[in-house]
Amino acid sequence: MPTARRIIIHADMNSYFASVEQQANPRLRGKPIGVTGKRTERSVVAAASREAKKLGVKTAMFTWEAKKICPSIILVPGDPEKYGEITERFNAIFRDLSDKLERFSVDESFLDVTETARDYLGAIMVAQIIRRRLREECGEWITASIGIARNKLLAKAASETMKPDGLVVVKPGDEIAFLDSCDLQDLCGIGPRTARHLERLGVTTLKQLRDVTLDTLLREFNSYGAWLYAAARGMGDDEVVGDEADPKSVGHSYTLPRDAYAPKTIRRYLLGLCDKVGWRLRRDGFKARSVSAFIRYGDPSTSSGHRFDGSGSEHRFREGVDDGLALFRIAWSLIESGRDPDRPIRLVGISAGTLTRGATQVSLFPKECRTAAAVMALDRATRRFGSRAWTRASLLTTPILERTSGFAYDHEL
Amino acid sequence: MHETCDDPIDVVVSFTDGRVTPRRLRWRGREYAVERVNLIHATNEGERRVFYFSVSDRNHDFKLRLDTEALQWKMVELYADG
Repeated sequence: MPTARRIIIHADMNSYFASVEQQANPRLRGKPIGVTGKRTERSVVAAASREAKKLGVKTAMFTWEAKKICPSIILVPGDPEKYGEITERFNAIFRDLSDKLERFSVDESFLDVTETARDYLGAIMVAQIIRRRLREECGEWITASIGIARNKLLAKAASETMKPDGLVVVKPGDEIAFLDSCDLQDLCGIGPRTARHLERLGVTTLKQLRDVTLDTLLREFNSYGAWLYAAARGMGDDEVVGDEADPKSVGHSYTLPRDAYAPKTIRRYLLGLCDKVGWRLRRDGFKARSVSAFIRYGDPSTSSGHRFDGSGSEHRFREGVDDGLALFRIAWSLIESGRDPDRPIRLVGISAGTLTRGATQVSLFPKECRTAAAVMALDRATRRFGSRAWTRASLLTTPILERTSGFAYDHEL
Repeated sequence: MHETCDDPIDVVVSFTDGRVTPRRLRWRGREYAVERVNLIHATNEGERRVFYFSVSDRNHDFKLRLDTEALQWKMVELYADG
């Protein structure tokens, strides 16, 4: 059944973390800066300022590479709580002006403005109000590129075409002409690997992609071929999904300060991560029925990482689990069963899945009762004094610093 | 010059439209007039709400911390020429 045409806005904050730092500190304005993790020397550039981008610095580049390309770059350790607050602030503006809001990442959101704007002129007015309110409520240095179109695919591509502070409208009927002005990789969903695959088929433009039959695309890309077929014609998802849905998993990963061989070191970081995941499960009223663990090696081997999946029958929990220590015991056994002890570990991660909601069953065993009471007391301390309120004695020398990541903020997780 | 610190300071503020705006501050025996408020953001330390004010006078950029429970201001960061 055909659905009514929707009007979607994609707002993409320009050089987001770097712009927030430049807003807070005028001394950084007009200069090439790179926002990094807490340790600038073993980190990547999470966001480059527009000045740094002009000089060739790219997001996710190692800091040593950025320094090599741009020796004058100022590396600023990220401040996720600051960015989190500004993210809340601009999403509150978006929420005021839209029927539905989807947080696509920490610095990108989709707004369904079909009802509030009524038509494309109204959508342009909404975009202008967004720009004014961003200036007034977040600061003059914090800007967004805005794309308006009938679906999320086109709106996002539109916002990408004019940075910074751009406003691009793809009017109904102009979709194909707009797509023909885009590169293949301007579409969210076509990455370098797909582009190379398409190039082998003789396809280097979206116009050429439209000439490929659906059968060929399905044969080459399986079900993803159908998405490519539709995307080349400007067809895509127009449903803006709110934040109401429960998460499918709760996870956390961490790059170690130094590559590590010693099981004791790896165990400590993993336990710290499991405690964080356990706290988040309990805070949000979830229990996990499965767990998977992940490591990445630090040596330059072709196989850089391994995921150990505990969601299979033998590693699935019979009862839901929300305790960090219980998660750790399974996660560590998964890692130990597949880890190559001769290779150094750079990153360790855990994900708790198959989440269920429900009250905790009271154990009949005194030891488990005592543990549960202690965990409840620690949770009260965490709520009252924050996540640094307590730590295990064994983890005193293993601090886990907050990341400045692209998809979520640790302190909100 | 960039300096991080944790020094208690005196701050004169205005309360307007439910907003707190630093106007003058005294730090290490010197007084500074706040000319611009660049950014205000807040964090939660457990139940405690802490505000950070990034402000500037003519020659310096400061980051001030206001603990709303202890009602205490601190200088936590300073940028200056030279």
